[in-house]
Amino acid sequence: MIRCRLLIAVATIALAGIATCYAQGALIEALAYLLPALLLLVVLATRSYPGERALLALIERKRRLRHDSAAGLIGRQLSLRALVPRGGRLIAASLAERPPPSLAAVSLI
Amino acid sequence: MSLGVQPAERSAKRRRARVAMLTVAFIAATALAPAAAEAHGISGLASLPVPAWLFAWAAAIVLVISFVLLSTLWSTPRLQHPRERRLFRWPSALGIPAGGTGLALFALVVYAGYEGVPYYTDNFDPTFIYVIFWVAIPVSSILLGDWFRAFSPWRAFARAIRWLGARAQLEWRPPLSYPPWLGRWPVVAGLLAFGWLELVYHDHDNPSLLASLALAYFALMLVGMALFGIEEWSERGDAFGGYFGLFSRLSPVNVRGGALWLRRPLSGVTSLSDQAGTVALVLVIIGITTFDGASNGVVWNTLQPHVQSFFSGLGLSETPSDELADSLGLLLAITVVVGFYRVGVLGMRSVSRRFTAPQLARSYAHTLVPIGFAYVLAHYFSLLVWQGQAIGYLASNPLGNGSDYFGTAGWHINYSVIGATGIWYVEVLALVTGHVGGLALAHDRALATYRSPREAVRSQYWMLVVMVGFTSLGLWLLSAVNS
Repeated sequence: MIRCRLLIAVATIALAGIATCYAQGALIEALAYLLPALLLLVVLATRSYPGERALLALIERKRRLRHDSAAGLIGRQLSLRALVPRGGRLIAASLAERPPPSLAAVSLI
Repeated sequence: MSLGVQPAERSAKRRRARVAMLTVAFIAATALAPAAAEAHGISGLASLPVPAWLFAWAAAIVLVISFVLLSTLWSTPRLQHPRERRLFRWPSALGIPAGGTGLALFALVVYAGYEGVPYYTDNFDPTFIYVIFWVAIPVSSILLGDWFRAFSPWRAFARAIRWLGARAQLEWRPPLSYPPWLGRWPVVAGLLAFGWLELVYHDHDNPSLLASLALAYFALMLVGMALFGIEEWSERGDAFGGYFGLFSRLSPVNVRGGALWLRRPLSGVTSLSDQAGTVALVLVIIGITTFDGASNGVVWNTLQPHVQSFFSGLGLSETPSDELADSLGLLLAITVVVGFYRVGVLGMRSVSRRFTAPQLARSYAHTLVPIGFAYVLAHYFSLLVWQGQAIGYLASNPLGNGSDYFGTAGWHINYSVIGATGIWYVEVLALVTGHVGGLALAHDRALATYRSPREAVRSQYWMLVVMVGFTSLGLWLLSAVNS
């Protein structure tokens, strides 16, 4: 239904443009200006989106990079906190009979 | 260490955004302003090194590249919740001289209209109304925010009356509340009427008529403010206040609550409420400017006599049939603009069934505001630069009777300030920048409304068509005027 309407709209605009310009003899000039928009419109009206796959791949790649860097950052923050206990954690670590797991892991290395 | 990573990431992001912007700017500059152009003489489009239609192609390429860069580098909505930072406050008493200045200028317009010479070149009114008021205020609102509100003569007069009434122990309460269905329709009607006056009515530069219309508008505004409240009506019912206020939303500064606020450019327009008439308002603004361009072009000037002769054949005399033909042309131009936007909206509707076409039309209406401004700037730039200079001598001699109040009555318009080729480049740059702005706004809104990146990207393909279409149309009209 929508596709049909779109085609009707495209045809109407094209016909109106052609009729107007033909009457003026300015068809070539008008087409020269409006051709990029008309081309794009015709391509999209056929439900094809040129370059969409490449664009989505780029977006996904960027999203993954951002996600990875954010995860890495959190990991670094956690490991730093674990390596250098402060405040209550420091007291707890010193009072504990065995060290917290992270410190134990570090001591194993 | 973790604190050191975040700014680095942020600066990398900024660097990437800067690189993207520079790339767009570079491509725009190389595509739109070839170096050879500077070597040519200035005599309209004939002196351009490439055919004018190639500029439309170059503009389309710039828009496509902008679309790709926006899709890949702009991944989260950034403009939907504008944040503002207060720069400084000013004393509320400053509203009095501002309003007084507005009222004094209004009084001058009325006085010059009735008492001045009836020639549009020598009388203060036509230049002040059609160049300073209609063009310079919207352009300056982009830089300074909605400063007209403080200077609005009808608002200042109504506030003065309210203050006097309060001192005399007389309190006036507006008897009506503003109906939601009315929305921005009064602004649409007012702008249509002004557009018709400027572009269609044959006696549009008659100073006494302009003075009468200004008085009538003033009275209408006072009635509206008395019925619905001063601020309520100023915001929604005042055609010019609404028009200037709409463009001021693009500004990086906001004048609000007696202070100046700083915000991201374009972010102010995202909060444009979707009340009734909003879509019509932006489309009418673009349509009026479109007809202004078309009425000076070959196409309409060849068609118009046929339409006029049709009305003459119905028994009408020359002037009414001419005005009827142009009225039809104005409506046709608005219809074409509505058709362009409709195609874009229906295209977006085909991407996802979650939104209806009216919902999408309202949701993306704000993306047309930079386009409307680009059209206004591009079409009226030469008028502003050349005819705008006339206000220098008209201020000294507003009635055209030989007076010289400021010693500037002997000034002349200097047409060598900028040549026709320079104006063409400014027009092209304004159109392309405005449409890239519209594309950025549409992209930001798509990120906020669509769940999947695929839907957001597909919807933006359709907005790209709208933007390329409007750019091509604008350049075609401008080239027709300039050649």
